[in-house]
Amino acid sequence: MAQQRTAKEQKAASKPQKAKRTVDSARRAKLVIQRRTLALLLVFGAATFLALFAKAYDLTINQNEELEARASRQQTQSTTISASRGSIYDRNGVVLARSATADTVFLDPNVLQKRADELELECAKKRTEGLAEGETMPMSGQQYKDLIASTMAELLGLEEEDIYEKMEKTWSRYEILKKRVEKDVGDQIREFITTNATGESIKGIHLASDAKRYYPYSTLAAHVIGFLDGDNHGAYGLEALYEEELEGSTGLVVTTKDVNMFQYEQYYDAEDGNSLQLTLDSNIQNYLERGLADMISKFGATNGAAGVVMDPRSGAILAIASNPTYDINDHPAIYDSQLQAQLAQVEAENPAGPGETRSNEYLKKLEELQYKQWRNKATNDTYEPGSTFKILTLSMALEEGTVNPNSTFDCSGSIQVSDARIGCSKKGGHGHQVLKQAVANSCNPAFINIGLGLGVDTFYDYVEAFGLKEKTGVDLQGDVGGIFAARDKLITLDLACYAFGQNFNVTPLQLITAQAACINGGYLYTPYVVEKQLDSDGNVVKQHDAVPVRQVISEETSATVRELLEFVVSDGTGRNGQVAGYRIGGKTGTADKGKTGDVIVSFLCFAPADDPQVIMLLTLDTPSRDTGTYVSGGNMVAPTASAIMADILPYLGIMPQYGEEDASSAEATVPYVVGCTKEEAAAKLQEYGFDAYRTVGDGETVTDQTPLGGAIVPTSAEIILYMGVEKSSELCKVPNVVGLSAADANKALADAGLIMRSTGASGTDGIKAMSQSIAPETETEAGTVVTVQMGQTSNHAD
Amino acid sequence: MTRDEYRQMKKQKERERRRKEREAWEAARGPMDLPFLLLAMLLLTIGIIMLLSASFPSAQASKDCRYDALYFFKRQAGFAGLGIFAMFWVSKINYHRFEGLARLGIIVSIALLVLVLIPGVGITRNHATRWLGIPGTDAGQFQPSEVAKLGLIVYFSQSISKKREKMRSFKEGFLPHIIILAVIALLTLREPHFSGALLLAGIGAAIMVVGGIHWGWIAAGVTGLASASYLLTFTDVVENLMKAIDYNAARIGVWKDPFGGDLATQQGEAYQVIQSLITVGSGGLLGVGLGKSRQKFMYLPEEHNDFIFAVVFEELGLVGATLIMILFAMLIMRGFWLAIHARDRFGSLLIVGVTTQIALQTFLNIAVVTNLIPATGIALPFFSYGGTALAIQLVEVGVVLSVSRQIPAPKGG
Repeated sequence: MAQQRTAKEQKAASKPQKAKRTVDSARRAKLVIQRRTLALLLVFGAATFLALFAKAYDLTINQNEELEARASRQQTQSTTISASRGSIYDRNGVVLARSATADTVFLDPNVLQKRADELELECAKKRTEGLAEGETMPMSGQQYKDLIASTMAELLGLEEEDIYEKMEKTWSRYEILKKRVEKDVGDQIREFITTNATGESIKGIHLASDAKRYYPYSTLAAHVIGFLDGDNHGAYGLEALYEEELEGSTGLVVTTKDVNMFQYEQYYDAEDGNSLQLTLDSNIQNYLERGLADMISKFGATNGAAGVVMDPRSGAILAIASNPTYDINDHPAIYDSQLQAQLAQVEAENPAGPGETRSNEYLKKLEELQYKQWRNKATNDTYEPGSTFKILTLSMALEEGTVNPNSTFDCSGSIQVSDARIGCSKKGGHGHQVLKQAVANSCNPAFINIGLGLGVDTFYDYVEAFGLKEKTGVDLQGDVGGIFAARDKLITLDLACYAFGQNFNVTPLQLITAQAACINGGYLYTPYVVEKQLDSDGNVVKQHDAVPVRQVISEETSATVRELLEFVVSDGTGRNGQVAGYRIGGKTGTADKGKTGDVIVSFLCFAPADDPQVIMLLTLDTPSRDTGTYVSGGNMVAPTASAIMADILPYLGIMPQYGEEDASSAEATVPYVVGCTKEEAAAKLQEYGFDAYRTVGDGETVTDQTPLGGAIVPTSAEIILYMGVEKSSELCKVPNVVGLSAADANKALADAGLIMRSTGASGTDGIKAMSQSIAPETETEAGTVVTVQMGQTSNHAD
Repeated sequence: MTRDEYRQMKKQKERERRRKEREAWEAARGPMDLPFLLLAMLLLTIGIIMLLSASFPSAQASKDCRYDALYFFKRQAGFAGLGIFAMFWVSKINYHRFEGLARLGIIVSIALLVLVLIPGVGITRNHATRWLGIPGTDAGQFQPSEVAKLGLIVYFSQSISKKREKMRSFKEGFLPHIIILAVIALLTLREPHFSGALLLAGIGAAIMVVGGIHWGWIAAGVTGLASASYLLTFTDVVENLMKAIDYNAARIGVWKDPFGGDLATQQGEAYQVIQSLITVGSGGLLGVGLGKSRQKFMYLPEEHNDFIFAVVFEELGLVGATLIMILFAMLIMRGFWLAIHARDRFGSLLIVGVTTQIALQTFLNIAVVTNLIPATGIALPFFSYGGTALAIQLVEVGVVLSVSRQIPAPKGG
């Protein structure tokens, strides 16, 4: 035991050092582990989490708004429901502009690709497995795409290449193929989607409702109505001015969605736009536009024409037109043939360079002409009105009492004002005239005296009272105010010119608004075109209230002015403005356009002269001096005004009243006399106002008649009764009657077997035929009515 | 030596052995660390709830799930139950027993990693061959790299704990371990499984660092990591290098500017990152509410997997997500604290390995979700869907608990 112990002790004794080393090393190793673990604890337990927190804070707090917006953008899908745009009607409810539904066709390339992949997979499967009995190979993915591309290209008139290009954008869910597709094309596409060669409905083609705007009368009132831009928003005219009212509010369906299934939908109803009912009358507008076009072509005017027809009792515009015009349905295209020729010339002179379809010069000209044809000369452009302005000078002077109907004026052919000499239109002078004659002669020296008699301040007060310095306030686009010298800068010479309408600028609409005040009892109205707004159910939402802005002159003065102006038409420079059976008042104008030598000729007229219900102002810009007609408003514009009035007045239900002088112009309906004996027929014709008749053949009863029963012709016409004889099928040749007196013209036409209907001036002294409705040498059926415009050509300006 | 003496000696040896065993048993019978267990269980509970919330839309919409909204939840919960059972079982085992299994464990791990690479054996998904399973069935599939993590932790802990200060030497301390680590990491990279290789390398490196390799290596490693991060963040070097080796270089560009690409990119490579950012960002401070995520409805890919934490952000907001991150941080810190106090080096290193794994996965996962680092697929412990992974995680928690039982009671306690 002792030995053992010793051995053990020995062993133990040898161990301590080793053991101590071992323990030390173990302790050191343990210490290293502990220290380094502590380091890891700090890195992984704290540092990394601080970094994560900082990043997370940035995302959830700083970028929260932006990321949330992205989330809702992808999670929600909003589909708009277009509101139906309101229509535009004329005063009688004739539709001038309306919207109809159309379709926008779009592609979902993402879904389309998925479907194509499916088909491809199916094909591959069938290829490896083989086809069962009577089974046909399904369509491949490519064939599927081809089918869609070719069908869409054909139906929508697109290039297949473009469609393929859109199909490539497989990340996209919405690629528009075509906007505003006609309903029937839309229906064809719908049919294609449901029934087609694949045997299943097409996936990836969709249609969305949209609206297309139609303007049934193309050019009628184009400057008033305006047009829409590519996104169906008003770009010009009433369409733009009343955009908010017409458009309505677009509805919205918000769908919260995921990639596969829809969650819920929320609706915001669409509200249809209001409709506009205008004061315009499409017939009167048509008469006016036709008149302007005739006048331009007849007198070779190079700068267009404008016209306004207004109800002087309220300021309601019955028609307002500007020429050149355009087709609203295709507003970028140049419509006017004169402008087309200009454009063609530029194109011929500037051929397109390599790589371009049109030369720059062409495009520049095109733009210039587009703006020209879209301009409404009646409201956008100012001009020096010339003598038509004398109505205002006259009104002011009468109201102020500086002149009265008994005032007299002496005209020597010119007048000295300050250090300038101003000439009269009649070189030799008008001599001694009473006021009535001075107005009828449009005598400049007389009006200069009237103006100077008023004085600068009084004159200027009236210019302001007539609203000429400010915009008219009409509900049309581009309404501008007049341009006048400042009150304290107005010198005597200016006033002298102002008195006969030169050296300042106003728009035709401003002028007619002021003139209406002169003849309607003195009340200045704000001109307007929108009578009322109607909601989609036809309820009136807003109604124009015609309240005079102010009374500028008294009722008595106004009555005097009307009388004096009626005399202008009956016996003065405005004789060509006469309309048989009506009392017309008017004033002619020929105004210099600055110092260019070009003029703007114009005519203002109203009817009936004692109780004006309609007032019209026509201007013709830069007529040619080579038409053989002496350039003046009386010669060039008044006849057209007469023709338009002749259409408008009966249309408005204002009945003509024929005096002795006008008897030849009276018209009546031809009675139906076929089957009557000669005596019975004569009696019946007499009863209807026809005295002249002749018979052809010697049968017992009337077998045919010219003109036919029911035709409205002048009572002076000779009625031809065929007694058992075939009506001659020979055509009559229309003779040239221009330059003949009324009686001679009637005879010439009657001899040719035709019936004359005379319009315009009546009387015998110097009144001659100015134009005829059917050109000479034209062959036409016997008994045709030829309208002859009667008038007088004077050789001095008015 | 007499018979008696011999007998006596044998008896003494036997007594000695029994004493040691009793001591060990007594030690192993100590209480397991309650804070670590509770933190792990709390995270697991929250994780499974979030998995249910995040996964039901896709489960409901998927034919593979038989349109059962609870499909993923049920499976995950089943594995969790199994894992908890395994965790307690492992925690009862005296962890020193694992020492003997270390060598076998690493050989099996490497063998499995080789096996998965043999054509026809491994299961391929999304161009990556990462799975093994019973041929012809869906059951029992697992990733060898998951097994390798456990194998690596146990083997390194065993091997390094034995070396003591020899670890400081290059030949004995550094070289053998770096070779084994390289083999495992490269095999994983071959699958390819970049994030798996990264995790294995990180875990191995952590054990080596703590185990006592020369500080020069640590300095070199830290310098290398720092310069790589610098090059990645501020230059195009890494991107160009990745392009050169034909690796998915686009993700670097996406990382730097997720919303910068054209539509095709935004719907393509950048889609996942963009959706993740949208999901995280739309949560705001307080979130849209539990279960009310909108992004999980088919927008966010992998919403119940690698990107589950984005849904946490969206539903619970910055506040909720931060609370969960604090729980993770506490678990990790408690783990390292246990490592510091473990009875022996082997125990310490085991815990360091396991805790590092949890820490790395948590950090990398949340960093990817918030686009702090370029996208790579790393699962979040206790949250991401994946039965085998969850079970192994719980087994690892069991290992930590097992070590914690042998921590001597505080002196004077």
